[in-house]
Amino acid sequence: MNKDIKIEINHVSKVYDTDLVETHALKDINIKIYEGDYVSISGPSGGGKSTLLSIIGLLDEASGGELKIEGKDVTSLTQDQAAEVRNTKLGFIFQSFNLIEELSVYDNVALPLTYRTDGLAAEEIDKKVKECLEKVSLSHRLDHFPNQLSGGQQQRVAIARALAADPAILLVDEPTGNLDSTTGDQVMQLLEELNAQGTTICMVTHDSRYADMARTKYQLKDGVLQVEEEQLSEAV
Amino acid sequence: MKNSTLVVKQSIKSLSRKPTLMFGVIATLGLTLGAFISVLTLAYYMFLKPLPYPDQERLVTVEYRALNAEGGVMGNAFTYPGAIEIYKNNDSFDASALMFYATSVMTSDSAQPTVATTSVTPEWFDITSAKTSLGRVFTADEGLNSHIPLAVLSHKTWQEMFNSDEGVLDQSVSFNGISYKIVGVLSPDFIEPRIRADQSSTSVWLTWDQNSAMAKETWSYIDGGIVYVAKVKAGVTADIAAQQSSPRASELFNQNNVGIPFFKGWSIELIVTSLKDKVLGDSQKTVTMLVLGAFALLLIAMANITNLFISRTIEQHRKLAINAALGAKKSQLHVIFLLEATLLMLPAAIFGLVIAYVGIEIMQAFFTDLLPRSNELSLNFMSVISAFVLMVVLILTFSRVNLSMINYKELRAAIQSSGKGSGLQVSQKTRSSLMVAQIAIASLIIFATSVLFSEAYKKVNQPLGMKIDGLVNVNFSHMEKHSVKWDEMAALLVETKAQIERLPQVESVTFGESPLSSFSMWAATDVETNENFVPIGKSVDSNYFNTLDISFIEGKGFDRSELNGDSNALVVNQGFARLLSGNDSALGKKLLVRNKEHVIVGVIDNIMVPGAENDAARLYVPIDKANQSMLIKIKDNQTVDRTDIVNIIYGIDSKLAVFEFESLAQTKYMSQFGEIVTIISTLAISLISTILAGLGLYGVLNYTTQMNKFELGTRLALGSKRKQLILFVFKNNLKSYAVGVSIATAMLIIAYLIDPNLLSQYIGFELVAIGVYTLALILAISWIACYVPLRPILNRPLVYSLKSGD
Repeated sequence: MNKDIKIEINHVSKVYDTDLVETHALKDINIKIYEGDYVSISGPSGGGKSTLLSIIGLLDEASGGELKIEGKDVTSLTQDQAAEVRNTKLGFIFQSFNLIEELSVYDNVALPLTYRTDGLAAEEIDKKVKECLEKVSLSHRLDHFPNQLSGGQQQRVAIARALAADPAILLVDEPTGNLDSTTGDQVMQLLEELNAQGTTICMVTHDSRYADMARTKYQLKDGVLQVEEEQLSEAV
Repeated sequence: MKNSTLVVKQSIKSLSRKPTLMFGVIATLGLTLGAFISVLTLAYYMFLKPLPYPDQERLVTVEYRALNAEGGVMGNAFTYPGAIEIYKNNDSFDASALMFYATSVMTSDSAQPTVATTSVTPEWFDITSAKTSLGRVFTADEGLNSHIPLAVLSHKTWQEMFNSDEGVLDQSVSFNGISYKIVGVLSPDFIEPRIRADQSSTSVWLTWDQNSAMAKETWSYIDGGIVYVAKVKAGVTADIAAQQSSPRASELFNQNNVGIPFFKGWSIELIVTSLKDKVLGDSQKTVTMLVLGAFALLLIAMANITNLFISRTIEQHRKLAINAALGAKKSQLHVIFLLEATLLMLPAAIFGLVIAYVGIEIMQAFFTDLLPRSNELSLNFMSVISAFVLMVVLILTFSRVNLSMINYKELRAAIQSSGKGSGLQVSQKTRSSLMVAQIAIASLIIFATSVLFSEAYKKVNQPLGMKIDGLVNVNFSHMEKHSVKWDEMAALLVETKAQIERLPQVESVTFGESPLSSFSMWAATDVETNENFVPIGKSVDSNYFNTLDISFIEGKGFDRSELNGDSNALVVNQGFARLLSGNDSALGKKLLVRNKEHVIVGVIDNIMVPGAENDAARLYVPIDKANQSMLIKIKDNQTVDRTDIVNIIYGIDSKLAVFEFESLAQTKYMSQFGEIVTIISTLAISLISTILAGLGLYGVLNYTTQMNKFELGTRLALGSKRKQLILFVFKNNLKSYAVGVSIATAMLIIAYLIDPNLLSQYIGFELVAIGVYTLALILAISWIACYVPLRPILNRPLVYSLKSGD
């Protein structure tokens, strides 16, 4: 079965240029992420994992190379065009949840929908928010505020928020970094379920146990991407 | 003791590493504190300090007010014999002094300078307790009817015009051909009361009898040069003095004008005003506004500096945490704050005093005509005490704000928790209050200065109804004017005019006084209705209206043949024509003027003379052959100066003198100096408060943005566009804007309810426009203050905003 390519990265590099040294954070990265895929990128600290995820998420700019999202070249967009892509095509899940303290669970999940250019009707937003919260089993916490929830619950709200805009892909950055192991396992379980339902996921983690849960596994070391041996042998 | 020296040293060291903060605080506070202390010093002189004369509370001025049969005010000046009569016979005063203000040409000086002279009776020097540094003042036997011409020089005149010559008492000085023997030089400490708003400081004091008042025997002529100052008897109030003296003044006026129909039913009322009120005039309101304005600027500066202190405390977070961890008590942290505040406030207060000194010097150099008693001003004990008190208040306020930011318990723990949960937060309430205060004060200042600016700007730019560009007014006098006959004088003036016209730079010359100089009051009676009028008038020649480009509404001006003293032609302005004929034509209407029947031959447009009503009733009569004043129209890009004219008159008659030489543009500038100062100062204050408020709001919003950087980054990551984020931040601050503006509006309404006169003259569409302008400007400042701190977040890759958030 031919699957659509959700993300395509060709020869992407990232160089930090300071007065004294030039640091190559990413070197000639090439990846294709297909619809329904579950990709993990792992590796040591400082290896460039988060940089790569930021570039895919249009939070940072690559120094060279090409990035396509659902076949569309997004390498050089204006800030507002990039915002539009982030809003409609990408769902972010951060290590520190990044929920807005002043907003209720409901409003946090609704937030990306309020930025939509096509202006969704209130009923539609309501329906989508409730659906997403249902998916993460938090329908009963609509009116709570982030500081009234546990860490695991907060991350589930963040996942619901990421799902709200029906993104092409979920970009997940160390989702369990701020959680204890039991809660972390629950969150990973949820991601797995979502993937099983068809959600495409690209996850960055330094935890090999969680990285192994993905179907496609990459290692990023000193800015160079390597496909894990196991997969290579499978491929062979 | 050693310990405290160490703490002081540490604080100095720590502050010296922050030159921008030190400069910011000392400059902002020094400037605003200085401005506030200088106007406070002025207010002290105006409201609290007694006049520097003995029994000053008993000193009064007496004015003569003529009322017609209907009680309408017809004139506000003494008749010469009326003043003499009260001076000689009154029951209300312990002492009276007559004064006559004039500007005179000092003919004993070859440069013929024009100086301010005041003719006085000897009591003037007793009343003001004037001391001399050389010689003496006039004695009792050198008063009224002594006819001995004597002069006393002001100290400045002695220094500047006589080079501080010790032998000056052997010299004489001449004015208008009369030689006055110099008998004294006043002490440099003598302060002359400025009784009239337009009065220049007297250069030479002359004996009374030689004063240049006209019509000294006539009861039907009032002379604005005469001033009467008196000391009321103990227990007699100004009102009682007025009641006691008015009936006799009225009786004498009527007795001496009996048989003149024009004055039928008139009465005289003496207006007795305390000298202090007279000197202060209506400037108390101006000074109150100045004090409030300077105080508001100081408040904005305080809010700004509170921001700077907050940033400083946040920066010092680690140092404070270490201090707390090492056992510093809350009170000891307070000492650190107090010390830092003192180290910054002390130089700011000293700088403020320097600025106040400069401010007072500026007031004395430029604004003595606008601000009464500013000639007495000096930086005094009260100024230093105010600076000290303000400094202490500021130190306590700033250190208190810093202390209120600290959560001491969390601060102690902060050192162990790698800086998370910092123990240092500026509460949302503090931030909002700072914003609200700045918005409210800035709105008030911008609104008030815009109202004053608009009024002054309108006055300065109001069309004059005539063209004054390139026109110079020249006045001539003759040194022996009392003995020269008019025909002789007129011939000299005609010759002078002809020779000036021959100058290649000159386009034309016309006889007649400057339209911007004061008009004299004339008595006029409508022959048909017998109704009396007191218009103001001038004698002009046939080319006068043409030279000034004043347009005729109907009729025409004078013919050359009418300039002979026999003509009965009259030109009136639209204002007088309306009084005489309503909307009908005034042409051909007959008026009795100077006991002769005149006919109106022309009606001109109203002209705008600074300081006068636009539709004031004016009349013009043809000159009798010549006039001592001329208007010279100079060709474009050419100049004529005083020497050119002096050279001409020397060739005609060496006893002719140039009394005044001034361009009409300069006269207009001088008469609108108050408005021009208002325009400049309101612009400056408005600009300073806009900048201060902008910086202050930026300070608060920059802090808030930094605090919320992570949240803002997250919003952008979720797809918020730039515009949406800017709007979001702006909307978040709209409440402070609304509250600030509402407070300002409420304060204006309260001010209006307390004193409706304060604003009533401005109420109208324009006030609404200025209100809208103020709101828009403050909104724009708020918008910029929101946008600028956001720029780094919007313009750098988003990852930077998300990185440092955790």
